[in-house]
Amino acid sequence: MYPDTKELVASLASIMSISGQEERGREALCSLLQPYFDEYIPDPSGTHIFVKRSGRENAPKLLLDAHFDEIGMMVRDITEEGFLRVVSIGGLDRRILPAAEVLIYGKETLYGVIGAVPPHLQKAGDHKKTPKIEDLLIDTGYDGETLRSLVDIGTPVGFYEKTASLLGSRICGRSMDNKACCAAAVLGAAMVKKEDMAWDLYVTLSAREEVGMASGCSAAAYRIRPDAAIVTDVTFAAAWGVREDESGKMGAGPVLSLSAVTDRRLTEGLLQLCGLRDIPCQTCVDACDTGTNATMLSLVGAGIPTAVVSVPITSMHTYNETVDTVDIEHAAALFAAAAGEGGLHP
Amino acid sequence: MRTILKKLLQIPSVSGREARLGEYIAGEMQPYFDTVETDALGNVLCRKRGEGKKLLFCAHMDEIGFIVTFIEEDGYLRCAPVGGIDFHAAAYSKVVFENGRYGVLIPEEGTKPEDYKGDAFVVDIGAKSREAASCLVKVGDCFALESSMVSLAGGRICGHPLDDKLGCAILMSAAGDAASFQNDITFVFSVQEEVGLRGARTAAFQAEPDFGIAVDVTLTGDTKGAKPMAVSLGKGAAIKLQDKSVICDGYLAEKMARIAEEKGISYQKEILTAGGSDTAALQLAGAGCRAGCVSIPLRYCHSGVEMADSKDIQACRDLICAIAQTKF
Repeated sequence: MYPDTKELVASLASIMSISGQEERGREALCSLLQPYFDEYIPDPSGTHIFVKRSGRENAPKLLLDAHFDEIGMMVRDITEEGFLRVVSIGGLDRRILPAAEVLIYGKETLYGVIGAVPPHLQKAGDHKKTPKIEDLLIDTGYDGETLRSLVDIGTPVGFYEKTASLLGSRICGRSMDNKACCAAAVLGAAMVKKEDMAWDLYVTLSAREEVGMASGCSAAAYRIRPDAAIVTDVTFAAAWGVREDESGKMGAGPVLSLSAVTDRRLTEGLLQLCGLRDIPCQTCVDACDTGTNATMLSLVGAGIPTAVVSVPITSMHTYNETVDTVDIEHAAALFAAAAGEGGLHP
Repeated sequence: MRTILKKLLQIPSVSGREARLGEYIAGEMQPYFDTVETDALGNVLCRKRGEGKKLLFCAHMDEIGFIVTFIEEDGYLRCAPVGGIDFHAAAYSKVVFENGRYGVLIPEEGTKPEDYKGDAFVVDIGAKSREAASCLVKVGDCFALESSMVSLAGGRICGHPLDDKLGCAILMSAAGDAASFQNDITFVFSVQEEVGLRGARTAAFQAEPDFGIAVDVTLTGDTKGAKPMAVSLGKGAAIKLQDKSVICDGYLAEKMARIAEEKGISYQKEILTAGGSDTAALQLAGAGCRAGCVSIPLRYCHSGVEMADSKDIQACRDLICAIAQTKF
């Protein structure tokens, strides 16, 4: 019983989870994922922990971490005239903000657009400047008074959410970073048969990755104390303007990171598993920092051997992040193989 | 001590790739401790149980180096630095891979010295094509400057990588006196110091020491054109008060200085304004501990010609033994 990949990604992407707001979608998330897991453990950090047990006594614990949070904005001010000013949550690409459609998650979910100065009225050189977030105003159509009754300072704001299918197996939309990898983790858990499991599998859909310090995944890992961990997150796909030696190829399978701060034995184990099970895969090098939860996760408690398995996407940190579902499915197959009999060695 | 150091220098251990060195050290330490264990990250923890306080000494096994990021069509390798590589010091050096293969690290023709950084360098291993190179090295393989050690005038030694194999050698030599240690003593040979003080943190989490003492190299103020710094080569073990990563525990630093005075061990106090040390990781791991550092003065740190003085090395060894022998 596997979920359909595109549907699963779209369902996960439809649950708003801007950093700091990960718990708002708990009910929707739990009912979506309940068929694939034995247990749900809420964590005060905001991280969602889903467990699938092998049923074996003293089975080793494999932690599969995908950060659940997404970049976005937060209301910092409501002007007299009825416009919203925002701060950015996580590393937004500021070049693509003017004229973007947004959703404001107040008492009701409101639709809004970010104001843009028409090209006719721009001054010489304006087109070369990247807009500052404090200069942007969101227009909802409401007047100041009505707006204030619906929206408060601190209300999260996200890009308009629509996941669209492109030709073939590609999809695009908001928060493919990191719902694509959340889907890969869930799909992996769904694919491994209980009777084949050599590990107890803990999937953490973790909070607050986009705002640094990996606090959500570290807190959950401290509670779980896994024997090994795999972090799954998105990476840069080869595209115009991205160098060949710093990107993965879309559709060519998950990208395994070789780094000074990840566990090479575990990574090589995963690479071998890809070979044995005919799962396409690629490697990349992250010399001293993976830029993912793995960098801090590996240091939790007495240390956790950690590997990074990434899914390549284009247009990262925009509202049209694009991913190939084939890569999600291959990553999932690898996770299922890792947790199963003949998979990773504890 | 030099025999130990020479052996350590022969075993490559770029950050993240310390396993071979860890295995060697664990084997050597077995006779002197009750337990010798390698943890999840590859730290080697050697414990001699005893009455009273728990003291932890920590020297890092890893050395700075490079990782292969890409193999070009024509057989040249691209690489990224692992740890604080000074490309001016590394340019035109011989480099060695873990499988013993040699290469040379060369800036692209026409690169101005001010543009010396990872992107501007290639490694020439002699291969004529990507195919030929791929048979010898893979993306993700690590390499380092060729290791070396020579004796200079006045009991000074020069070589690479003394940071921090010198600290490891000092601890291994001090282990010979383990029978006389008081307290509950753990020697840690840590991983991944050069990429963010990482291994010491998980090691100290497990060991839960009352006192954590790093054993690492420090810079000196006596090189030509050096920034003022009150540490000189040959003036003894340096007792760290502060570096960029940590303010050491005042009680512990004073206690170490008193022990040095009582035993007639030459020492100097150290304030380092650049660079960090495992001291910071020890201090903050778990519920925290009183942390300090015995530093070995080192000239030309992170180059292929790091220089130390035998008198300082001996003083550091003596001080570490004296601390371990003092009831805390």
